[in-house]
Amino acid sequence: MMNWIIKSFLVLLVISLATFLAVRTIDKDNGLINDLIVNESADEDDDQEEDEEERISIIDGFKALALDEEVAEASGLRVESLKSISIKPEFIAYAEVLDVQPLVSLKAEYEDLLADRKVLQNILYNHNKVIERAEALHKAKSLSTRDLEKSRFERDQKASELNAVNTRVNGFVFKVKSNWGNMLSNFLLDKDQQGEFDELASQQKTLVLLSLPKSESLNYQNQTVFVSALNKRESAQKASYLDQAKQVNNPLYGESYFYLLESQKVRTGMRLFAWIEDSGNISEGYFVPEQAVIWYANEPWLYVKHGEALFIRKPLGKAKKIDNGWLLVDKDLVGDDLVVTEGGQTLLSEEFKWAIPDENDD
Amino acid sequence: MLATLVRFSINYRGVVIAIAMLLMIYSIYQLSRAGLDIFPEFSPNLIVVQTEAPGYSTQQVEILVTRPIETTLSGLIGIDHVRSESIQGLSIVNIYFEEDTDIYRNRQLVSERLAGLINLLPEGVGPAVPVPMASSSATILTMGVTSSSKNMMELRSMVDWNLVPTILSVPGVADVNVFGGDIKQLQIQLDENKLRQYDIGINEVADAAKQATGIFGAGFIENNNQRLSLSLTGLPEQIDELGQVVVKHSDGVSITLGDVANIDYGAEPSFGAGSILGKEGIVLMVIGQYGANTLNVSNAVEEAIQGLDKIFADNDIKLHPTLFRPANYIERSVSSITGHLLIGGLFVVGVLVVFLFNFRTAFISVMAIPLSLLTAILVLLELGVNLNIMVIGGLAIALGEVVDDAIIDTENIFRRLRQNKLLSNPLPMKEVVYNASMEVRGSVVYASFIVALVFVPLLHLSGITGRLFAPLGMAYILSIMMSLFVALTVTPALCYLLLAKDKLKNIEPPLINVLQPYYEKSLTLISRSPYLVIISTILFCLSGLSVLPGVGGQFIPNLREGHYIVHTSSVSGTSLKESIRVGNQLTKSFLEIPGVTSVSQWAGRAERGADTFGSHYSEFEVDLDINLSGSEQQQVLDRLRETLNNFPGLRYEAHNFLSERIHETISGYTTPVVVNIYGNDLDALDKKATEVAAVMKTIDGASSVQVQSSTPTPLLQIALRLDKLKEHGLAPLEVVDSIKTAFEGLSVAKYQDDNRIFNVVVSLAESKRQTPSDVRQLPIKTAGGLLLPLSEFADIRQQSGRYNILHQDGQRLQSITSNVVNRDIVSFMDDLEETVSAQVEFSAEIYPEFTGAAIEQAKAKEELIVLSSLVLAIVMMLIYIAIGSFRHVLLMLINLPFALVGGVIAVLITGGGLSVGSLVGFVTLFGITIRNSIMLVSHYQYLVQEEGLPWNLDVAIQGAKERLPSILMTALVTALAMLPIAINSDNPGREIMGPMAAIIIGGLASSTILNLLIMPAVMLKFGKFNK
Repeated sequence: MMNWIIKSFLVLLVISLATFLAVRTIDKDNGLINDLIVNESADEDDDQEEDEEERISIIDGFKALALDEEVAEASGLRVESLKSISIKPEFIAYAEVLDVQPLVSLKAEYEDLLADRKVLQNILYNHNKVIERAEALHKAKSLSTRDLEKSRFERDQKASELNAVNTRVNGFVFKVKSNWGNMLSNFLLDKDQQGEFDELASQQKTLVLLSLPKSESLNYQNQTVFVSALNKRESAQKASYLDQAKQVNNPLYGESYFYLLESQKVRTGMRLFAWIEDSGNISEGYFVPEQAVIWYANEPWLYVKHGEALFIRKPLGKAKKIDNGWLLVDKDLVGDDLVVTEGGQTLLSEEFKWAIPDENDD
Repeated sequence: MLATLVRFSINYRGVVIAIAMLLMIYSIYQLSRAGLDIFPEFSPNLIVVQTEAPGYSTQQVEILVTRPIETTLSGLIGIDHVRSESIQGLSIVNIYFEEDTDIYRNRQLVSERLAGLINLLPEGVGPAVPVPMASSSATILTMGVTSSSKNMMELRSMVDWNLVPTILSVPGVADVNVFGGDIKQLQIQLDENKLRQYDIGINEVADAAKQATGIFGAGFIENNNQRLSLSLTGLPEQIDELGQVVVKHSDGVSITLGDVANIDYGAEPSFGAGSILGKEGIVLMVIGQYGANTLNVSNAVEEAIQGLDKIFADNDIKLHPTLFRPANYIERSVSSITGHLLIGGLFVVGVLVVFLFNFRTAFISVMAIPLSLLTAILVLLELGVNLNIMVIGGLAIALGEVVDDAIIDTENIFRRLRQNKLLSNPLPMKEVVYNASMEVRGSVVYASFIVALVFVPLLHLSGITGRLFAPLGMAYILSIMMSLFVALTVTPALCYLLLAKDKLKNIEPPLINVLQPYYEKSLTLISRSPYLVIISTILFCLSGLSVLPGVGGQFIPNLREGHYIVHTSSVSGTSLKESIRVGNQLTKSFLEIPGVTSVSQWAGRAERGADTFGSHYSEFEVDLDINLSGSEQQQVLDRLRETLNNFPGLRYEAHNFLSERIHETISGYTTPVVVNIYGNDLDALDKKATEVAAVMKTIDGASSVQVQSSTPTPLLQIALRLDKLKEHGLAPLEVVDSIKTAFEGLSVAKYQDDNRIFNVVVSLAESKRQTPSDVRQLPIKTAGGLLLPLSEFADIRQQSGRYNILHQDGQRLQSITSNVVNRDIVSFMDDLEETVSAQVEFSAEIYPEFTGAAIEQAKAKEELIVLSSLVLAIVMMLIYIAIGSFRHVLLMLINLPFALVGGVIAVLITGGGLSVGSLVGFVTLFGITIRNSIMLVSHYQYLVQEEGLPWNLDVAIQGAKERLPSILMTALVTALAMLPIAINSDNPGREIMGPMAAIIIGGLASSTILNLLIMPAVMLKFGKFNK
């Protein structure tokens, strides 16, 4: 019995061991069980070409990507030649429609002062005549010295009063000129310019205070600007330069100017947009649409198609940001080549294909 | 016990047959109600916690969101490991539980812990929610909507408020991922020029907007008599009303929202976009619940959305209902399999009739087959196992044994009854049936247990293989057990009922009569030169087995689902618009491929999805003509890959759907070698990873060395300058709030339009959120009331940031992966560990871990080999118990390589590789072969021991001749039943079972030849039978 048990145990042991070793040996080399048990086999993977490095070269210091024309077409790349444009550079400032009521009040005050002065001047004139007559009477001993001195005193009093009024008028003029500048003061003080003042007062013209950003100033004296209550350049109206303003509507803005606007659509207190031609000449260059621009390494770039199958990535460099795109002044950057206006990101992706992770490994 | 059971069945045959009939009817009833799926649930025991963190960068998400979640969840019972990924605006934490834990209990534990997390997350983040538990195949249906007249906002509103709720109401739907369209919101779009015009800051507008509108309750008043609810009205409800809300009042002038902003409906910044047939549209992915049945849920969803037809028609909306319908594959597979099984069934009947030449006998055998399989299905259904292709596969491959059980018993009873009639003093019929049944019973029982035991290792496979193939093993073992039970009960009962009173003619069936003389001659011839035969056999086996290492292996064969999924990925930072543009170009090319019927695309991710895809990522559903054959589908795949290879700037993957799901389900890295580096300092981790990668590249055999998680993503860094902020009297958060409001958008209230609720959001207009210049120009209001551009207070630079940060078990992780070519993986790992340790210096804070699929595979392989060896030993013991001789056990083992050779030849002929299915085929073959051998040897024992015949050539030939019909019938019936499946197996439904069937047929052919021709000769020469 014992013999039988030992025999069976030995046989089983041998079989088990043999199986174990056989399977391990067979499987060691080709990993068949690995493939079967755990994972997909290699042939399920998409064997993608890894020749992207070969497609990239450096031309004139710029990275160039070689793509077959068919591939470029299949990927829907759109290339266009850039259009030449010339633009007058402008900057935006803000303006406020001023209330002319203070000016009207000042005008009334000024008129009052003038009227007071006139009255005093007349009184003084009369006093002078009285004194002349009194002196003649005094000479004729018809009038006492006391009475003469009294008349003289009254005349001097009126003269002093006139001087005071004159001082007030001068002060007023000074104040007006200090607050509103020469041009508006003239409207107020100069009877010859009463017409202009009346146009303002009757709101045929509107007084606008233009405040420039701190970093900006008018390009030249008497520069015309365009203003609009809406943020729409096309709806802006011409405003005529009037004068430098002595005041600002916000102490933190820069220079300010008075402008006259021939519009009855704006109302007192309205805030206006103003477009002011920037200094410098009219800029000429190529218009690069926004969709052609690729941002990389903190710089805007564009792809230029050179020849039939070469796409060169070039920096926009000194291009100026304008509405809906960029103004490329350096025409040599593009030359006669076409620019990729759609699909630039795909070209960037092809250039940096190595950075796209292999999904299999995560 | 067996004897009692058999005797009971004969005595109470009526009851037994009635119970059998009832069981059959009930099984058919249950089967008709059961759903069918493609695969068993193979998803791991995983809970995904998703947390949206709008506006937060990758690193902020990692520190502020992911880490608190990981800490909160750490220590839960049953956690196996935790992996997380943090990307810009999103945290995904994957908690893997041990496989044997209850997924619902795990979910409960996670939910409880997450409930306490609310206060730990920053304002505006979250909540952290467990993603709905999805079935392993996840996608039940992909559909889409387009319209030629509706804009994308109207379309999305219709989808969100009509279509999605309808679909979500269908039982079995876990979620609907929506890609594309514009989510409507009421936007207060700031105009920076107007802000400057009125000297109003962004935060002032935001504050005013918060006070502007909303939906509020106001409580109630109550006195002794009444309770009156308070209802608030008069809040701005229309766009123009909202525009009148005052932002600032000074000098008697009110500046309103309308003065400084454009108020209009706009689109929420989107995570994803969709395109259908190259046209902008909305793609909806219907996700099935865990355990949901794909076919049933698909049908229910389709039925539910039929009610929306009128809405679609009235609104000029085109519904694309089946951009991808996995149920199509199930239906095609089931139809294909059912057809072929029916043909196979006819073959079975034909063979039985021809061989037995008796309709009653054939009927009994035929009846045993469906009865066994149906009762097995019934048990499976009662155990909660869903019917799927793997279960059907298990039932199909069990057919060989089931048929064998039915034939052996019936044939033996039939033969003994005929022989009994010849006796001068015939025994009672009942006794003959009982004896005949018991004569083969012992060996049948042992053989059945042996075969079942062989499948046990399959049940213990770990990971996805185990989850996929365990139901197949279970179905197989259950079928065998049910078949055994039927053979012990129903077959003897039916035999007694139908054969006892039959006029049994004592003639061999004609076919057997024809075959037997030839068989006898062959056996005599072979027995004359046993050594020659054995040597030839060994040589044949060796030559056959020598080609085995050259046969390629794969996890599962290519499934012909009539559908492909293509992923594309551009460089990180690519916009949704560009991804869709590229997608439309690809769609155009795909649609030119013959056989492609529809292409849809989604880019980015869905709002509630668990994916961490950026806008640079796209997925395409490529649907094929339903009539394409397997090879034609492969041609389409080749063309797809060719198109993708030629497309610039993309990396891609193109798979069929189920391979895709399996790929996604496999956790961790799939490359053989992985070095994980853990530490806290991300830059130091990157540096170490680069060093390790450099070292790894120098090691012989290393291939495709990659540093993971280093994908750069472009970002515009706004670095606040505190000196400037101080100069202008600004607090840092004032600037941050303005930036956040302008570009991320500040949700200030809810807005009601009929029964739809939208967000009211303050942000810059979309056209002002496009370029770095827009960021630089953002007006920030200083303490002095001046509006200055953001560039005055901050250095704004485009930089490269991290796309994602990975964690494993709460620790920051950087991984380096590698393949190994032309080298043994174990020695590679040793070499790698040694070289890295010598050449790369690690500090206490940074340490490496050497792992990878190879390590996991090695563990799994070791387990499998140990288990298989153990099972083999037990099988040997059982064989020994069945036949009682070690000599005979060893002699029987020569059958195995011979059977294996047939299988290998079949693999070579069919041109396929080995898959797990093939492995199952070999295991089945092993069972059938051992069983046939046991039956032959035990019959020899019966002849010698029971009938007292001497052991010589005549007895060897007699025994073999008597076993000829059943061995031949079993082989033929099994082979013919499998044949339709094996032929042209690269077609829907037959991809997995086809190779199994081919191997079984091939192996059966070779093992039957051996069993019938060589085994008797070997037994005669080396066997030893004592009386």
